[in-house]
Amino acid sequence: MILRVRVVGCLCGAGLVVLAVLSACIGRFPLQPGQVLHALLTAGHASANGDMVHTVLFGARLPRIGGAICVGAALSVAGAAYQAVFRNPLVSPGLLGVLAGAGMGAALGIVWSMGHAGVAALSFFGGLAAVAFGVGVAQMFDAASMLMLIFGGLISSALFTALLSLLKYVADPQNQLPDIVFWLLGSLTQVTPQALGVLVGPVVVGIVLLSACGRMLDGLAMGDEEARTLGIPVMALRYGVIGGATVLAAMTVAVAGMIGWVGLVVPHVARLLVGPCNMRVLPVSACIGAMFLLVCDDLARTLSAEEIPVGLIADLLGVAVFVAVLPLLRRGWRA
Amino acid sequence: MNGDGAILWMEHAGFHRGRRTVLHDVSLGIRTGEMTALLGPNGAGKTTLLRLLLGLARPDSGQVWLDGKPMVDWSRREVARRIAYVPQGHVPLFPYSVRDIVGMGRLAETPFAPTLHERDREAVTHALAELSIIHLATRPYTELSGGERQAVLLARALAQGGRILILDEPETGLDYGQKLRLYALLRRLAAQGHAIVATTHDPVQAAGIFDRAILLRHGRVMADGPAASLLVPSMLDQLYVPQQQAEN
Repeated sequence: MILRVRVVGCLCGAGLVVLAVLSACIGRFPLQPGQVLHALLTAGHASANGDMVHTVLFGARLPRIGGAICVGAALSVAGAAYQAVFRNPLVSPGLLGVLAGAGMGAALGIVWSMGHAGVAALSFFGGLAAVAFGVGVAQMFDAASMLMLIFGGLISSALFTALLSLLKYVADPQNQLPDIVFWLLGSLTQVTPQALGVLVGPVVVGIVLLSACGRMLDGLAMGDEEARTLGIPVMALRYGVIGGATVLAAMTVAVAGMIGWVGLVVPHVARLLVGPCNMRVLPVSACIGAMFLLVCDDLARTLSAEEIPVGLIADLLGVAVFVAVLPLLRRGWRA
Repeated sequence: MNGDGAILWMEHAGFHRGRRTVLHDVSLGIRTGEMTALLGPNGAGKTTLLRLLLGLARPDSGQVWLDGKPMVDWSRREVARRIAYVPQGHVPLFPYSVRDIVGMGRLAETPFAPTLHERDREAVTHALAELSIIHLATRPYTELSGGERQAVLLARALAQGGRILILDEPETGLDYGQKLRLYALLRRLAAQGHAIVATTHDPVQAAGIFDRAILLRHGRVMADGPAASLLVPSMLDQLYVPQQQAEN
């Protein structure tokens, strides 16, 4: 098992690098891998500026590739963390309403004509607000009950989905409504170098922090009371991990719209590869999620002359992957 | 209570669930080197008593003490280093290996470590050896039989390293031979200086194995003393008789 984990870890890392370089090559202005590597190595030289290769690579492709990696990794690790916290492999990062809230926030930004940064910010805070609302509802009844938490999430999701529908209804059908719809489909076209700069730090920190809680999350799998007798501060762990995973998920919606399914499917693939221990599942999920979304985005860019929204591709490919691995999963569970 | 060498004790503990009083004014102490059986009909408050001793619930009146300090003043980690709990076997959804499960006993020592430290690994191996289940180490816990799971949970409790073991009906689902081996192990642990508390539904066997019995009826301690002299037919009749008959 240890050997297998190391092999999987190395393959994941190497695969991600290779995929990233290949992704940089494909597009309407094809590049050779050699050109890409050369441009990367000479990035610091002033003479390289103005070069066509340089412009395409650093202006458009790399931010987008970075965005796909960050968003895929963040959503997957958030999904794996949610699944551990709720002891349920069918939970997605949207369980407590973060995706619905972030979608609503973005729509609000579009209706108010706030510009790109404003929409992203509103989306991020919309996601946090929805989860806060769901947790608040749970607290009103019984803060310690996981069922109440799921209830709160359901209510919050329903509320923010309804508000989103309301915004779609009042949006200007000529300009705003198409923007909202397109935005909700999920896309990596608007990832700017600046946005990527904001995204990278928190995603890396989030993945590291959540992974550091991996063994305690394993303990949580034994049930709340038993976990307490093992020395785990259950409530602090649960709300801390939910908070971290929620911030990650809300950030992905803020930069790339709704790309939901990745977070549900990828942790299953990770568990098949490295077993159930969250110490490994979380980082491996991040890596596989990054590769998965990178492939989806490559397909989105190349399948047709018009770009296809990556969220759509991710959902379709995610369903295919899930159906493919389901027979293997059933053997692992007690089903 | 403190004076007679108890490591874990409760004084005048009462516990309510809604209007119903589950425990009335219970005082008892758990000593190292002693095996204590907790007996009583279903609904007598055994589980609640265990939860109070484990610090999972707080008494509404009275207090629980651990190692000279009130239970409420200990952190969960500190409690876990002193008291290990062996629940009735249940199965998590994810197929953790036996070594992973026993390794969870070390969470109180190194909660954030990415892998077990050398000392933790030694504790795990030692616990697996104590239960003679090293051969199961890499098997998924989800695929084990009831008796094997019980052994794994016991090994986890030993890996935790505390001196107090609290077991919830440990003989459930074990065959005769497994029961005998379990009792022999508990006796050995008590001789090594562990304090052992177990609920049990088998007074006949408990009489020969436990040092001490606490009989719980309607949330009160009916009797507390040497198991061999308490677990006799006349006493058991009184303990397990249905309430209506008792009132007649």
